[in-house]
Amino acid sequence: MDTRLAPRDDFADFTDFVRSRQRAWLRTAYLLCGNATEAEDLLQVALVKLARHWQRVRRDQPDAYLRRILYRDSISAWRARSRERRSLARLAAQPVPTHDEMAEVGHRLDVERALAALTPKQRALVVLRFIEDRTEREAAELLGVTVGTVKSQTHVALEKLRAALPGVDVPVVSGGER
Amino acid sequence: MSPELRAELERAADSAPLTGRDLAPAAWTAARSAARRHRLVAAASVVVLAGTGWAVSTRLDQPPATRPAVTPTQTAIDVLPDSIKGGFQIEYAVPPAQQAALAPLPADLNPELPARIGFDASASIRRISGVGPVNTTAVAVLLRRVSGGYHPVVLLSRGPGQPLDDAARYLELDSVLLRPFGVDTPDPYVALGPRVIAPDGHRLAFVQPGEVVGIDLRVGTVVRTPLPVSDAAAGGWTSGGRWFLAWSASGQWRLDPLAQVVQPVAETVYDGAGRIHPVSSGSGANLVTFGADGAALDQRELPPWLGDTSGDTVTSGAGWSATGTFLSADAQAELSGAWQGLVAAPVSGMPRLLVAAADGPVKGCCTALGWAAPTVVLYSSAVAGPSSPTGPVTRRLLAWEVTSGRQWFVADLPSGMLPNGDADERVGAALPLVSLAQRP
Repeated sequence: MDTRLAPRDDFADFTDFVRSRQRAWLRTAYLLCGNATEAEDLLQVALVKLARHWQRVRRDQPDAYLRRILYRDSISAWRARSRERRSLARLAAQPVPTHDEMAEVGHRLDVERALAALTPKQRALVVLRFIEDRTEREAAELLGVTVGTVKSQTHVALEKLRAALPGVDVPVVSGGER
Repeated sequence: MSPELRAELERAADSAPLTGRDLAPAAWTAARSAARRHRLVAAASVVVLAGTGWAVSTRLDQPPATRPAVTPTQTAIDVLPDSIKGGFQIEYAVPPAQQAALAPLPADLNPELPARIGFDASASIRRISGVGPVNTTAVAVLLRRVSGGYHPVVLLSRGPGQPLDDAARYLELDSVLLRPFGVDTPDPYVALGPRVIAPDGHRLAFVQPGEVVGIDLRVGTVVRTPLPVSDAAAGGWTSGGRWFLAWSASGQWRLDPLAQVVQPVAETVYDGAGRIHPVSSGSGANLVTFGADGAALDQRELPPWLGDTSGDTVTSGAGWSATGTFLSADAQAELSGAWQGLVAAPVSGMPRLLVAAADGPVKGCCTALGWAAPTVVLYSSAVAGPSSPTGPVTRRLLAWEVTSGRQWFVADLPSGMLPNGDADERVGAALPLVSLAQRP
């Protein structure tokens, strides 16, 4: 089997494809990680994997392939080990926002704190179910868990979000198939 | 489905400071490197299977496998993400023989550093006793050997009214005599950490036996503040610039060295905004972050490939912290015997490791000195001379962009001998020690 990567035209296809979707993937990665720096790292690793298999997946839903890597890597063991506690220090290290940006930054930090209270798997389920509108079965297949786990973990995740974001209308999971 | 929850999440994502950097080229290059390694490993496996007897009989005589050398170009050398191992994004330092071929740090990143930092023993340097106070800021501080100790020599920025000639930018503080520590030992030393220049660039402070010497370049004052002990031998300005911290084996103090204010400190403090230090047992290190007054804020655990650190930690305005590091046995096994380098860690996210060549760099080769930009660290690289492994050490100031891996040449530094070797004893010569101004 020829494992060589593709020549120049594949590089151009790859970069064009990534550039057209990078922003959307970063937004997903951000919600999966709960912060921007980790999101970039998560996406960078996923892109390397996509590039390695580009010839095989380029005509077979590469967007879905990349997203599957994002979800699985976001909850994998090595990421869980390297995950550090959220800190005031990190927030202090960010650029100081202007006065007009303060409200938006405050909102974002509230959401980040809420996401930080979830486990990586719970964050992935929230994104899959309530950003990407995936069914419980689809979410289960993507994450390699049972539908029962999806139900129970989604329920726990929403309970945590409801407590952390009291002004937000967080849905109540019925427990049935959507 | 809850439109409101979804809207709140999407609103947060929209306002998040997500990178605008193009991630595609680096990913493609990293994938190609990984595929190339895969092919090399596969080919090597075939050779080993076909000639195991030969390999066993000769491998003890072979040098350890080394990674392919980075090829320099006339422009900046791009060392794109090579691999991710052990929880680090791994990059490889340019081999010592190719350092001089590195492209110079772009002018818009260079904090006014000349291509050669230092001076000869015979150099005639302007003295503050003849010049008086200066309004320009200090870019770097060196030490000049004089009778009975050392004079600080400040490399000034190119401010209005200041000479453009690099040689004329040095200002010797001839009214400040710094004494070494440990004069009754075989290895006396001078405390010159990375934060002797306050963040405003105008104030300096040096820990001395039994005191801290503060200097304000703008008014030309020198203030000596006594310490309650004689063995405080380390110190630096906090990131906020309000305080100077000094340490001894028995205590630590927070000072305003120009107002002679001294306060003992009981809690954990550090003069930088971040500190990478090894854990007390086993391998691994922590990154501790500190506030503007030096008080500890938070801690994160770094992946366990790090051993002891080498030198202080310097932290950028974007929260990246960097220091020299030795690598654990596990890391050395994974990195073809490489055993030291430079680590850079953000407060959140994947740390980077710049791996030094296994041969050439001296022990403790890589010392982080400061940041030229939020993600561009300046570090000293020390390499043994080609004639003798214990001969003169070549020191260069290099730059590493921690997110893209780009490396640049910045300046030649004062040379010197190996640690514990014969230092340059000539009166008037520059010591191989440099402290850079820390950019906010």
